[in-house]
Formats: sequence, structure tokens, C-alpha cells
Amino acid sequence: MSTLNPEQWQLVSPYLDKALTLADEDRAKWLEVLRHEHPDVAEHLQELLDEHRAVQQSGFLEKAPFLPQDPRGLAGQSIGSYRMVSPIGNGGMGTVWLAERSDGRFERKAAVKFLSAGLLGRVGEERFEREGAILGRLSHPNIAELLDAGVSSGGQPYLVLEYIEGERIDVYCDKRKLDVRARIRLFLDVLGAVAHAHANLIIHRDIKPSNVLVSKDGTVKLLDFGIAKLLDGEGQRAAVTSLTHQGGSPFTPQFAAPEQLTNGAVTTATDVYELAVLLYVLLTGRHPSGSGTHSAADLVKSIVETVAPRGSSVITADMATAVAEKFGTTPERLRRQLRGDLDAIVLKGLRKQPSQRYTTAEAFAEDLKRYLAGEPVIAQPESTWYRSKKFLSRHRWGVASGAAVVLALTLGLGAALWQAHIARRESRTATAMEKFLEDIFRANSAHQEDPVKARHTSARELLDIGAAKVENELTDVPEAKIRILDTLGNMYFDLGLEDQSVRLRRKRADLIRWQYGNNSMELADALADLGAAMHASGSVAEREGLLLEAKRILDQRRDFSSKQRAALSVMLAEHYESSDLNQALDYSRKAVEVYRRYPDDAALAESLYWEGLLLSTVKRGREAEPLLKEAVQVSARIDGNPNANLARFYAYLGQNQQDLTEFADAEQSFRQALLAARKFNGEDHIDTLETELRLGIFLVVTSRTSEGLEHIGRAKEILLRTRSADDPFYAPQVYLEYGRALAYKGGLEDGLVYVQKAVENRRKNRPGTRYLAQMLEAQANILLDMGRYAEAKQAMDEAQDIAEKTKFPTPYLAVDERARILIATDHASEADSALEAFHPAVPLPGALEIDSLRVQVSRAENALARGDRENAARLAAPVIQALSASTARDYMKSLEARAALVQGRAYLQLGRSSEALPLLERSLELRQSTVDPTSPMLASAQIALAECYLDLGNREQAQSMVANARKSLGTHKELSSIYTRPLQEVEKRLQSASSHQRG
Amino acid sequence: MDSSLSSLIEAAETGSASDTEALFAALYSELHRLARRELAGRGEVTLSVTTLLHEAYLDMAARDSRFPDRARFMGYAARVMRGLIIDHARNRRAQKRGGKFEITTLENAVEADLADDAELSRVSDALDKLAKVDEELAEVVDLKFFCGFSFAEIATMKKLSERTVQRKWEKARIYLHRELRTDL
Repeated sequence: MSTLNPEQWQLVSPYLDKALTLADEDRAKWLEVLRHEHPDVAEHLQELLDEHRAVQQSGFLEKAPFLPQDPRGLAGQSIGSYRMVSPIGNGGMGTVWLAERSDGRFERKAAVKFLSAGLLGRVGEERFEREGAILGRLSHPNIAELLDAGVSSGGQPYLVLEYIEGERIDVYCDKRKLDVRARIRLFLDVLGAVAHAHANLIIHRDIKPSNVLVSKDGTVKLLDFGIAKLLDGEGQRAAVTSLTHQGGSPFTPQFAAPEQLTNGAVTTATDVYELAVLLYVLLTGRHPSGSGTHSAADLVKSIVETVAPRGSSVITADMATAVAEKFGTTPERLRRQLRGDLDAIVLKGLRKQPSQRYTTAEAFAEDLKRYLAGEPVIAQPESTWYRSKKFLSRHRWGVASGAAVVLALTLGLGAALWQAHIARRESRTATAMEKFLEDIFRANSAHQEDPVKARHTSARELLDIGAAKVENELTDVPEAKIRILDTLGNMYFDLGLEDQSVRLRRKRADLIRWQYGNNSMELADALADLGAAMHASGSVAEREGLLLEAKRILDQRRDFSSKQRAALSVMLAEHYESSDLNQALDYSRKAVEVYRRYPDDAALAESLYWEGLLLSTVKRGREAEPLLKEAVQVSARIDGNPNANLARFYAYLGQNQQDLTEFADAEQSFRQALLAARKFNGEDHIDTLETELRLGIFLVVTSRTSEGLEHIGRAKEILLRTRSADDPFYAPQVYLEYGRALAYKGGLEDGLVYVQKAVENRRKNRPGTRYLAQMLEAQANILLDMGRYAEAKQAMDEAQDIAEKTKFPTPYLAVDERARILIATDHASEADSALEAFHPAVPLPGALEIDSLRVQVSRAENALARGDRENAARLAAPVIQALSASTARDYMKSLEARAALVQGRAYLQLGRSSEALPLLERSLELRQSTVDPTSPMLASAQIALAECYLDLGNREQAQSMVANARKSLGTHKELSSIYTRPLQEVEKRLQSASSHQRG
Repeated sequence: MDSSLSSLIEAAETGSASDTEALFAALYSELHRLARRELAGRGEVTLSVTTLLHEAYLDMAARDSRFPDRARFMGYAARVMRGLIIDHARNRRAQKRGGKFEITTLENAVEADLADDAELSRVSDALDKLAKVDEELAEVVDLKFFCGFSFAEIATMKKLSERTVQRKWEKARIYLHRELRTDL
């Protein structure tokens, strides 16, 4: 077997490419084919593939050329002024020795850590010692002091640490059966230490229980601060990648943050994650990735992908002994303590995206303190639902600690230098910028002198200092100043301080205008940024002015197709959405056109979604459909499935499809929305609540009442787990829908309870608004069914009152439902005119005009109630025809049941009983599949059918129907005469028939 | 350094072998200087090499009036780095251990695990051969094995997909493995 010469290699190379992309079985088949067609190529290829297998087995070139060393046999030897006494342990980073001072000066014991390190000659001592000195400056009562760091003449790096005698924090807590609050208080000490380190720009990177010791007197000590970086910040990464290779190192990433495992940037938020894992362990005794042994690969996958379950949910009843031993309480009590706020706090620290966690250890501590004080916590998951913050993509600084402010400024300044092509040596500039930074640094470290109080400058303070300084300084170097204003503006935005953010961005825009001119691209960008930040603050007119000026600049530069143009167009579309739909639509279309040239930009999905949304708002659902579909596809392709936006896109797609009466597709979309929300956010998130609710409502409306109720029920549970029953925003919606669905099924009393909760909530939080009016109408509906006319009328009147005062029609209930209430509450003439005046929207081609059909059925019911049977039958008939012919028939069972009932009854009254029979049987059948046996609507069908049987001489069947009806209606304490009177009448008929027979 | 980095790169790309030499010489001296200053005995040293290369780029680019293409820089620098690492391996073996304190001697270390500078030289020769047949494959090996860049980083640098980079890595390994086998 000779080596392949270059020509042969070139020949076989493309085949090798192909072969390597195929999976084993496909490869074998493909090779077979190749052997027939190009036997010589196939032969060479086979050799290479054999080689490939050998390479994989032997791990050729997998290991880097240099390897760790390992010190042994050191007892009695000295390094620096410490003498080794005995080995203490073997950490993941090397051996640790107990040592004492060999110069006899202090009786202080120390731990000397020899770090596993390859040797490359006697270089790098300076750097190691320099960084060690930085770590050594960390002085805090809860941080184990670094006494010395150095590299021996043999090239062996070592660290001398304060020797801590203590127990691991989890063991400490368990042994003393500390309760939840005590554990949190201990944990706050840990947070204080980490916050101090962050303020000094040191990230721990390896926080785990074994690195957090507690001494006998209860003092917490954190070990190994920043040592991971000292080794080489990427050292951990190397260890992890070797996991996936053969013969990987024993390093377990149990406490690693997702970004550490995926080679992302490590920031202070990484420490926050690890702290959250620690807290999770302390509060539940379990690791967020579950208990039991995992293979390294599984664990990595679990950390990176799987959303952790709520702490309270992993405390199960069978853990009683463990819980008693460790916490001194029962699983039930522990669960109750964790549920709600504490769950939310921990989960916030465990978010996969660093920017969604607590930005600093300080913020983490603050929320825990709020919890202890019984105040509301901020750990509420953000919903991506509402359109308000669309293109205000928060910059991923990842963290907004004091440290990060300094870091970001440094980077910002550095970048400004590059961009301005200013050489480092130009002294005037350098001095100005260095002085600026120095002052900030000093502010940052101002409180380091006082370790007892352990104060540290918060991000907010530093930002304010920076903002104040930048106003008056850096006038010589406008580019740098612009950069700083940008950085500071972004950081204020990240902290949610929009007013300050706006102020700085405004300054920046002014400066850019001066520096670059009125027609510069930079100005357009700056104006757009400013406009974006003004979303909540600032006047509409001003915002419009900014956006239009930005547009003018782009127009003048004849820039019609850049991403900036597109982004600006979307902002304009969003801006005009509430005032000028046509313009909004126009802009959104333009945005899509441009973004289509950048098919890999996630902004394309958002722009498609916008256009679709706007089209659907102006009732052009057919045109909206393909766009919303595409938004979903593009989003899934670029950001993966699931991602932060997919649930929202799917949900609005579903809504549109429902409007077009494409029910099967709509159901798919709603289900996908739920799936995406669940997978991306986990069970306890607002987006999951929203999607459960929407799916639930959809199912109820399309005749899958039980299933729909289940989903709405789940939404309710999520509400209670993540917020509270009094939540002003979500609770009323959820309770309303839950109540309505229950009532519809037949549980009138139960349903009413929930709807009333919704009413009370709205009354408290949104009095006099159309939101309250919506709830009142629903309440009136149920009260009506229960025969409580006076209350129904009262509710209805209040709703009407609000409608008049706010000049806002309440579109919540459908016209026919409202008409029904109006009629029953003595507003009959209003009802009639409402029904008559109803004009359905321009019918979408092919769509079932559901609203018109409902109104028609309402009219038929009215006619029948007035005794006008011919009209009733005449009105009902076409509805039945339309439904029978429709492919959406199965989704419209409720409507069909109503129509069949009214027509059947009309026929009965017209003496056409045999024609009535199939209709009434159909009505009953439909009701049986959608509502409970106790439902009065079901009873109505039974009663009408009983009347029919009597007409046709079938007394027995009539009797059994009536018996059933009586049982159903009997389960209700209160019921409207709409239901009870027909029962009385048919019972009378039964009695008289029998007496007639007897007689 | 008289000429700027970008002009050196440009010259090397369009010019003769001596222009390439000039570039390599400049890179070598620069990297060597940085290595002496920066390389510490810590961890898996291949990764500190990437830091080194990043710093080298920033350092050299700072003195430039234009910004040389980072990806191209890395390609050349990785090649030079290969030489540096082999040189260091050779030096280390030759280096005498002395001084005040000796935690361990080289003899205690597991000999078999240490990469032999001779073996590395052979790999280097095979790589030179590979470079003649398919330059990009050799570059991937320099970047990954000698410099320790990850697949993702290489993919970004060379504007390829990660899967493509992995495939190139596999192909390169196949080639090199064959070469070294038949060498014996």
C-alpha cells in the first residue's frame, strides 16, 4: 500500500468528503454503488476509510502536545517561606498540601496548592505572580485569603491560601437541620463575598459546595476565587472538550453554567448561575439536573438544554425521612415555603441565557432580602408577548455590575481607539482617556479599604458617576465620548432606567450631529436608537420627529435597502400601528422587502410577523397567512426551535387561521405555540400560561370542551404558581375563561364563582374600564342561565354604562350573546336593533361566516320566543344547511346544536313532528359530546325530544328523556325559567296523557 | 519591523518565496518575543497559545495603519506557531533542571505521555507535505492541534460551517496518519 500521490488524492478527495458526511449504513450502501461505477476510486477510498477508523480508535492528534505534571514526595520541603507538612487532598486542579510558615514568624497554617500545569520553560512567572497579586488584594471576611502565588524555579506554579477549617456549606446546613430562612441567610453571606469580588473585576468561575466552607462559628468562607482564570480561563474548556473525546479527564461539569460548556463568554452572570445551583442544592437537597448518575455527555446536554424544574416540585412525599433529617420539617411544609417567590428567584438565576439571570450577585441578594422581608420580589419571568418592546433588543452585556461598567467602558474606549485609528502613544488622547477610566476605577475601589462593612459600589452608582463625568469631559476626543455615551446609555437601558438612557442617547445624537453632520449615517443610527429608547417615555410627536428625520437622512443618501433602512421601517410601522394603519402597513411591507435580502437575519422573522399582524388587524387575513407562516419558519430556522419568539409567532398564526375558520390548521398552530413556550421557558412562565390559555379557549370554542377546560385549568395552575390569585393582569383573564368554560359545560354555580373573581379583580384594578365591562357581560350571561334576572340586569346595566362613558363598544361577547342578555333583561328593543344592524365583516373567500350564522340563529330563537314559528324555521334552516356542508362542521357543534334545536322546536309547534325528530336527535347528540350531563342546555334538548316522542306516540322514550332532564336540572339550585318551564310543560303533558289513557 | 504587517501579508500573497520568508521571519520574532513574555506554565498550554495569537494580532495590528485580515493573519501565525512549539519542545528536553527548589524532575513524569519533539517534527514534515496537496487541511491542523482553536473558532475564521471544518480535520488526520505510518 503506497501513499497516494497528490493527483490520486485530488481525485479521491471529493469522494472522501461525501463518504465522511454519510452515516455508517448509508455509507456502506453508497460504497457498493461506487465499487461498480468507479472501482479504482472505491479501492483507494476504502483504504482511506480504514485509515479513518484507525485514527478514531487511536485518538491520533486528539491530545495537545503538552501535558500536566504532578508533584509528589514533598513533605518537609519548602517553597517560599512555607514548609510542606502533609497532603490534604487532591483537587481537580492538582494536589493540596497543608503547610506552615518555616520562618517561625507566625503560627499561621496555610494550604499550598500545586497547580497542574505543563511546563514550557521558565516563562510566565511574572504574569502568574502579577495575577496572583490581584487575587491577593481580595480582602473580605468571607473570602479565603490568598497569601502568596508564585512559580518555582522548576516552573511549577503554586498558590498559598489561608487554611480554612470548616465544613462544606451543604453538609453544615444539613447537620444542623437549618431551616429555609437560616439557609438563605447563610447564602447571603456567600453572595456578599461574590459581589465584593465582582466589584474587583474577579469572577470565581467555579462556585460549588466544596468551595464554600463554613467554620464552626458559622463564618462562611469562599475558596478558590478566580483560580480557574489564573490557570487559564479556558482551561476549563479544555477539560470539558476532552470529555467528549476518548479517555477524557475526570472533570465533572456538575456546577458549570451552560455558557461554560458551550464555549461562550464567561461573565459575572456565570457566577450567578453557579450560585443559583448552590442555592437550589441548599434548598432542596437536589441538583437541578436531577439526581442519579449521569454520563458526562448527558449531564452536559441537560445543563445546556433542559430547563430545571421548580425547586418545590422536586420535594416529593417519599422524601420525608431525608427532609426531616436535613430540614427538620415535612415535605409538604418545605414545598409550601419554596413555592412561588423562592422558586422564581432560584429559577431566575438558572436561566440559560446569561442576560436573563440576575445581572449581579448584588441583585440576587436584594431579591432574597425582599423575600425574607415578605416584600414582592422582582424575579418574575418576562413575557415576550406584548408588542411594546420589539425592536428594542437589549444589548447583551450580560451583566451590569460595577465591574462590568468598568469593563465595558474599557472595551468601549479600546474600540473607540481602534475605530478612530488613534495610536496608543498619542499622549493627549491617551491621557484624557486613561484619566477618565482611572477615576471610574477609583470610584469602584473606593470602598475596598473597609472590608468590615464590605460595601461595594453598585452598578447604578458607577453609571451615575460615569454619566456625570462624561458630560464635561472628553471634549477633545469626541469619538471616544460618543462611544462612552453609547455604552452608558445601553447600560442604563439594561437596568430599566429608560429616562437616563434617553438622556444620554439624546446627548450622543447631538454630539454625532455636530461631529458627523446632519446627513450622516451615524446620525440616522443615533436618532433611531434614541427613538427606540423613547418607547415608554417621551412624547409621541417627538418620537415621530426623530424617526422621520432618520428616514429623511436615509432617503437623502438614497439608502433604500440597508438593514438600517429595514430596522427603521419596522420602528415606523410599530409607531403608526395605533394611529395610521395604512402607513404602518406600508412601512412593514418595505421592511420585509429589505430583510428578504438578508435571509439569515432573525429580524426578517420579526418583520414578517409585523406585516402579518397588521394585515390581520385590517381583516386581510388571507394575505396575512403566508407571512405569519413564513415568520414561524424563518424564526425556527435561524434561532432554532424553540426560541424566545416562536411561541408568540405560532400563537398569532393560530389566531389568524381561526379567523379564517381554518380550524385544523389553527389547532396545530396553537399546539405548536404551547410546545415552543414549554420547551423554551419551562412550565412556569408567562408565555406558557398564555399559550395554554389560548389553546384552551380555542378548544372550547371549537367544541372540545373537556380538553379545553384542562388547558385553561393548567393556565390557572401556572398563574397560582408563578404569580398569585390577585395578580392584576393575568388572573382576571384566566379566571374569566375558566369560569366561562365551566359554566358552558354545565357547572353554572362553579363557573360563576370564577367569573365573579374576575369581576372583583377588575373592579379593584381597572375600575370603570372596558376590561371590567367585559367581565360584567360574562357574569350577566351566567346569572341569566341561573334565573337571577335582577342581578344579571344590574351587571348588564353597569357594563352598558361603562361602554357609554368610555365610548368604547365592548366587543367581548358575540353579538348574539349580548342580544340574549339584552332581551332577557328588558332591553329587547336594543337587542333587536343590534341584531338587525349587524353587518358581518367583508366575508373572506371560503371562510365560514360564523358571526352571521350566530346572529341568524339568535333571530330564529327570538322569533320562536315571540311565537313566530314559520320565521323561526325559515331562519334556522339555512344555518343548518351551511354547517352540514362545511368542512368545519365538527368544530361548530355548539352552533349546530342551537340551530337544530330551534328549528326542531319550530317544526314541533308547526305540527311537523316527524321532520323535527332527526333535528332534535342531532341536537341532543351534539350536546352530549360537548357538555356535561348536568348541563341545562342538554336538558333542553332532551325535553324538546321528549315532546317530539309524545307527538309520535312513543310514550316510553318520552318518559325516559324527561326523567333524565329532570335529573340534570335538579342538580342546579337556581335555574332560569327558560329551562324549568319547558320541563314543567312536558311533565304536565305526560301526566295528562296517562290520565287521558286511564280516562 | 520596518514594513507593516498588512503590507507583509499582501506581499507574501502575491509575491515570491522570499516575500513569504520575510513575513514568517517577522511573525516568528514577534511571536517568540510574546511567548517569552506571556507563556506561563499553566494548564493545557495549547490554549494559552490562542490567547497569545490574539494578543500578537492586536499588538501587531496596533502599529499598522490598516487592519490586516485577522483570518489570514491567523493562518500564517498558526503555521509559525507550529515551529515555535516544536522548538520549545526541543529546548525543554535539552534544558537542565537546576535552581533552589525542585518539585519534581522530568524523570518522574510519565515519559510516554510527553510529546516527543522528534515526533512533533515528523508531524510537521507530514503537514508540509499535506500543505502542498491541500493547503487548507494543513491550516486546520495548525490551528487546531498546535494552536488549540476550537472548531467553532476555526469555522468563524475561515467562514466555513463547523461541520465542514470537522470534516477537513478528519481528512487531514487520515492523510497524516498514513504518512506517519509509512514513514516508519
